[in-house]
Amino acid sequence: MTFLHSGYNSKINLSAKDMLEISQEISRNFTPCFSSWMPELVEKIRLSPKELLDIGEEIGRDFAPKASCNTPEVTLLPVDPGHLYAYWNLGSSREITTSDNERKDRLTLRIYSQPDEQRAAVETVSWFDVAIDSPKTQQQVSLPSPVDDTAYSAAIGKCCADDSFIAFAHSNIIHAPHGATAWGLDHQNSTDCLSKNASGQGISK
Amino acid sequence: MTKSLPRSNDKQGFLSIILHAHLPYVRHPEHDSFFEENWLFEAMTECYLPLIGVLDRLHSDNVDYRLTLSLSPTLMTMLRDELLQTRYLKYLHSRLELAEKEIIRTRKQPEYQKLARLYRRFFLNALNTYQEQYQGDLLAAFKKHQATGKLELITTAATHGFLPLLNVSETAVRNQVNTGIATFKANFGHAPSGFWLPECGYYPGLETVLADAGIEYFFVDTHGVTDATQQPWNGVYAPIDCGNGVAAFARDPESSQQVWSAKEGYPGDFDYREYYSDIGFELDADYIAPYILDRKTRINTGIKYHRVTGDNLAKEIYNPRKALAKAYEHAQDFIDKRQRQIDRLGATMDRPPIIVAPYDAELFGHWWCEGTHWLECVLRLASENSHGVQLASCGDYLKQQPSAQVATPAASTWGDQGYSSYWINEANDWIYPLLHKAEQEMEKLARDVRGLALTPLQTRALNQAARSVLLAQASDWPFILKSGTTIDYANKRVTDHLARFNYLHDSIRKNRINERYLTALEIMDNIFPDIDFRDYNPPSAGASSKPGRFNVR
Repeated sequence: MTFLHSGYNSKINLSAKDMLEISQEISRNFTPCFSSWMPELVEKIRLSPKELLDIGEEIGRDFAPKASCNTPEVTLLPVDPGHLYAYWNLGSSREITTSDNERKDRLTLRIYSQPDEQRAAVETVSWFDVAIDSPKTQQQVSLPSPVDDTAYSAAIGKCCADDSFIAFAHSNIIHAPHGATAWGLDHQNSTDCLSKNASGQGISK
Repeated sequence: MTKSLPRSNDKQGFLSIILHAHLPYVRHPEHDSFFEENWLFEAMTECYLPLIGVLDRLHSDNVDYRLTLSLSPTLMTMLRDELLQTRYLKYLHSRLELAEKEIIRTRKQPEYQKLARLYRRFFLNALNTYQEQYQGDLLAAFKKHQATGKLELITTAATHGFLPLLNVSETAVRNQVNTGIATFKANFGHAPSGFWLPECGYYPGLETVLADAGIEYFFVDTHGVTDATQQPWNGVYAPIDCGNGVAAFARDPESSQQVWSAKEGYPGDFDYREYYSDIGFELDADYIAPYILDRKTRINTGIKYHRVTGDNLAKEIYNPRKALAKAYEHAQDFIDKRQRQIDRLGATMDRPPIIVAPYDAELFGHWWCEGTHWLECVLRLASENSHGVQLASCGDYLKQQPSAQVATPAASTWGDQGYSSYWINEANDWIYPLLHKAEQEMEKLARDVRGLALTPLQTRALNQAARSVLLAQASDWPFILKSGTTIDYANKRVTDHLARFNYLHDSIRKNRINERYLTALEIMDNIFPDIDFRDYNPPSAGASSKPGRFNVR
């Protein structure tokens, strides 16, 4: 059995075997690769403790983690029923300006809260602002009146002199833990407890 | 393996004791010896080997006990690591040598010499159990006892990541959970039915990840259940069903208080051995130099001669016989109180109550020297009393009492203040933007190479990058940064693992993988041998599985 090309009137006839061979050859030679350069695997690399240490130190020195990123972002984390934690990055193009014209524009973290049961009604969203006065990029946020099942999100931006708010980035949505039970002294890590070795830590430190 | 429970009657109830054994991954082949590896060696000598001794004795005496032990993946890996096994033997021999020296030094102080002889016996016994009985494989010992049906083994997240603060990415949480379970399976040949949430850190929704991983139950702190979405009918004395068939068991505050509290707890008894009185800090520097850090910095040696004695009193010499008798008394008291609890609860509950008593395994033997003896007495006493409190694992209980009230537990932890504030505060908050960024980049990398043919070297680099992310996520580092103990070490571990990730990420993106450097990282961080970086490619990514061109930059 042979197949004819359907696109135009080609004179090339291909058998099933031909098709299979071509397909296999293309697959073998042109499967998309991460790279066409295939490094040779070194049979056995032997490294002394000193060499391991040097490599570890070099990487630690040259690739130290940095939080910066090019695009503005803000992230919220839950802490306890009365607190959230926020960290943000303004991105490379948005330094806090200090020119006379913009001095009145304050960097602001706006926290939005939305009770779960009213989620459908977008207009019920309320918010409060936390002024950011220092160059820090993260801080704990106290919730004015913690309410169970409330969803929180945040925006980092600037509050302008005319009371408008220009958001640079919006955060994830989180729920703060809700707590009805007074927290007791029986918990792990409490200062009232033994030298807490939470999950084994503290062994001979 | 599960054990069938005795048929319950109105007066019966169950006690479930869970020990959670975890240490962070402290393995440093780049150094000839490394102080933090002693955390493992001390825990092996003072906690895990004595615990195995307890299980061996209970087994040979045909005691019908039931105990649950959670083994963290980092601990399992270290216990099976040849380098650490070799170094542990060296450590034990050094302790034995010190005990011998102490027998000579105390020859004119018979009371002290008696204790020095006891320490020599203790270290010799540890050496014998470790080397002769179990050939250096403590997991084999736990596996043997699991096979009897009396010890239930479970596990926890891969590197004990604090899940509520990793939940910015569900993939991060899934990888912590799934890699932890995979490590358990690789070591024990089957999946665990229970899961220990690191620091009991729960957030609503986590049960979905656990159910997907095949987990049947997990633990939360007391308020995780008392503050659940529905008022629990049975308080914390019956599990709740999270709505997807996964059960949450809550910690009993009463039994916790008796063991944990420094004021009311058993370990503070004046007859017990004083943890803080150690010859590493008390003897002449020249004499103790070979057994401390770099011959200069004083550390614990494990040889301690004094008892707690009392507040503001000169420490008196330790009397082991008296201390062990006190541990028996405390075990009897513990069982009596559990029985009274069960009698009280049984009158109001629609099912037999279960008292869930979870503890850090390292409390027993290390901080509380007599703790392992106390535990042995508790297990023996409970097994003797066929009409009273019965020992059970939570897995056993679920099999007998399959239907549970449906409710979602409240977000909670067993840490200070009951939530996440111990793991995110001014001392450690800087790590989270870095951890989340690395996780995000790992996921993007996995997504970008999806469907592409990779060389073995590229695959190795990607897998090593995933290991670096997991190791950076350990809950131990923010914990230590907050507690202020070995801050420099915790700081270095977080930054080193993230730097290693950054290096690998950069090498992969530029396709300039240096095999020598990669091998060095594989040697230093040789955990999770079967890890697959593709697990960082979340199923919902929506990327086409069709092969395509990949822009490496």
